Amino acid sequence: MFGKVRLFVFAGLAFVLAACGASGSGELGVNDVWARPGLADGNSAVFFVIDNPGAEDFLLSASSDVAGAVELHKTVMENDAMKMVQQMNVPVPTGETVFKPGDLHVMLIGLKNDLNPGDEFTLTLNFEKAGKKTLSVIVQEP
Amino acid sequence: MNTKAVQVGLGLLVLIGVVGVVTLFLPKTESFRGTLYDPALPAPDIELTQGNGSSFRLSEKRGKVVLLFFGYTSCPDVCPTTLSEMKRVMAELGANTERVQVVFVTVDPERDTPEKLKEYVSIFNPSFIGLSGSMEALEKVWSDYGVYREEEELPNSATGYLVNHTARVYLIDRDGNLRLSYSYGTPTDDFVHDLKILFK
Repeated sequence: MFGKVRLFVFAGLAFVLAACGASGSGELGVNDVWARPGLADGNSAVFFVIDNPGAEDFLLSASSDVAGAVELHKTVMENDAMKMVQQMNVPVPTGETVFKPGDLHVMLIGLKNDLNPGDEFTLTLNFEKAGKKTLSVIVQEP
Repeated sequence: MNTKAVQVGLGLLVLIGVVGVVTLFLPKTESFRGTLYDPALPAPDIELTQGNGSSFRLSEKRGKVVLLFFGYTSCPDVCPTTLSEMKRVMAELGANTERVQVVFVTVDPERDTPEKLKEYVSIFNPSFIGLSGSMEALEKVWSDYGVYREEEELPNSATGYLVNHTARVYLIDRDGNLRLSYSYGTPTDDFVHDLKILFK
């Protein structure tokens, strides 16, 4: 009898904790932001980790003054060959979404100036629910 | 009959002993971590143009180990990742750096001039060589090394077009033989491990 009550309390507690997690007590955050070095007129890519404590969101676009165009892409390997696939949006489920080399990246197309290690610039990510997030990007070698 | 059986038995024992001793003294062959070409093939020669406008011949690099791969300067992800990895490999080789030549052959001659390639690979390491050339000369090299390469138009993208391509790294030994190849994402340690075997 006592055992049953304890089990019930535990189950209730677990439910409350799970509900707290899903209801999104925290705000969506973007960390570990960095970009590869690149040459003027060339391309580069920005990488980061999105931490989403809330319900599923979508990354719709990105923008920055350092390049002529900024797009969302994903590198896909098919039988030893690499292929890039442009992403019209990127789902950001609860938890971590990692933009990393060989995978998802924000592509900077037509750099206005060289990007050298140590340089910093700003990048804005536009999420469907979380809205705009402006990030400070550090240029570094992977 | 019985004596014969004993003789055969003794003979076998001696044979086993000899084989055992010889095996003990044979140099141990360490195994490579890359994908081995067995037997090694003479690497097809490459004649293209390097950054200063002079011609490059792969056969003139005998005596050095060549790490060869294919890519293009507008490539935002895979090519710089591999170049960064080659940079780390060089850093870990120490004194043996002089015995390795990294060569980057374009898959996008329309946009990659020899000068642009030189500037690009120099960001990673000034000793790296970037090569371009006529479509005809490049098509021969791509075909000789079994490199798949295809332009893909992206209608909604500012990139205009991207070039999908094979992302393997090929290792040519000091005698000009194609010995090993590595898939994209091979850890730096694996390259360093195999190069150390080749330098023994």
